[in-house]
Amino acid sequence: MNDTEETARRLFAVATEDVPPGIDLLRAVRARSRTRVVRARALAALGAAGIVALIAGITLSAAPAPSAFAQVTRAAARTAAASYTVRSDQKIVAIGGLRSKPWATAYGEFDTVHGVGEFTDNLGAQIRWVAGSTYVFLTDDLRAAYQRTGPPIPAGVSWEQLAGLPLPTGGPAAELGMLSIFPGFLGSVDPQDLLALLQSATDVREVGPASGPGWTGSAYSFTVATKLNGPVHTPVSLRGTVDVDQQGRVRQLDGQASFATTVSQVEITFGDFGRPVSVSPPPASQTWVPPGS
Amino acid sequence: MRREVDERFAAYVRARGDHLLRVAVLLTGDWHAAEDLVQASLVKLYRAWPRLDTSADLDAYLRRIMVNTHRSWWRARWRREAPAAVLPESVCGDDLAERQAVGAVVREALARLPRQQRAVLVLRYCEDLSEASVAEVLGCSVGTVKAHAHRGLRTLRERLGDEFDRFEVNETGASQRDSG
Repeated sequence: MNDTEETARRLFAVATEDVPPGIDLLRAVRARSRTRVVRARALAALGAAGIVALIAGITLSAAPAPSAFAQVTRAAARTAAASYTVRSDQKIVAIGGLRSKPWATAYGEFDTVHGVGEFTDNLGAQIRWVAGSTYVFLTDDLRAAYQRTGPPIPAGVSWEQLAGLPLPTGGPAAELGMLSIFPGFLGSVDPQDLLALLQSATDVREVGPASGPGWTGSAYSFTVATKLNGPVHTPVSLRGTVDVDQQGRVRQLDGQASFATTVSQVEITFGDFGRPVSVSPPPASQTWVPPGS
Repeated sequence: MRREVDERFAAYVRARGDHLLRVAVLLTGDWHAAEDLVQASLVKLYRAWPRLDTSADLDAYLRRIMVNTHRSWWRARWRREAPAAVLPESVCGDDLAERQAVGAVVREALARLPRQQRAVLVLRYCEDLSEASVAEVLGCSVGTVKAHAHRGLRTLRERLGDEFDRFEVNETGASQRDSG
């Protein structure tokens, strides 16, 4: 092991020294065991006839469970219509034969009701939606693209404003004219558009239970294959798994998104539902409105 | 039989629980999430316990459960992570407080790595697994493990900056920190 690796070992040892007191690792296992015992005793007390009556009552009074398709598409619509935060890992694995990009970790906040949102990744890309416009931070990749194709970017600006392009509503994919291209240079799709695509899912199947901090639910596999409603009708596909909690909200989406010749791996976690979101536009002095936008 | 299973399971948790928490905190970034991850993984292990050959490597089995559970179940931080450019100062220069502050910075830097890089670093340099063993746990190639380890260490070194250098082992084997 070289010096760097040995230093990492020492730092990890330091990072794990301060174990907080009072952690009970067996608590969850004990709780689960007690629940099983309580259920077993309750059923035993009913007796055979009581159990039959109980099952009959449940069968007669319970509404049919919604299909996997309904669970997923409703969850996507409900999540897209609320406010939430996301954390995602995205990696462009293929882009028209060019070398793939590294994994990007992104954080975002969205409030569709008030039309505000913000999405930032660790590679320097940022995008904001506020006051009916989209603001995109001019990364080196974007500046290089404008240098090749024009128009020239004025000196001293850091952002471009795309007026009249508000936060995507996350509505059905059939209404998507274009995807909000995450400005890490093509391909990565923002969460609102992913939720829109999810509402066009087909071949949805429940694959098992799902859980996370403070929630439980179900995991589903799905496939999306559609075309954008723009002039080119660009094909888009998304396939993977999605976790839906018992409140009918999307909690986790892992999959592969294909947009034209670009393929991305995405792993997105949703949470903080209902949290207020506040986004400010960048300073006007640093903002440029491209001609024709 | 059930009571015997429970007692053996509890004995395993008491013996290995502390170590499991340490691995989990490096995967998740904070102690609350680490506790959740270990508890969730132990529930899965408990379910499988009657079927397991308990003379086998339980750590390896649970390690795979933890990594897979963490992969599908994130404890996201629902706030913007601000880069810690400067270490928080300890109030009176106390060595313990300084080490705790360093520990928090290291956990935060690790938490900001892509999940797969983080998992490789934790399995290689906390669990001391070989590259081949890490590849087996994560279901990838040894080459991928090497690449993730190289990139992860480089990024960690860049982010920790002076703190990494302070802990670096010099040629004589003594840490610069020990001599500083």
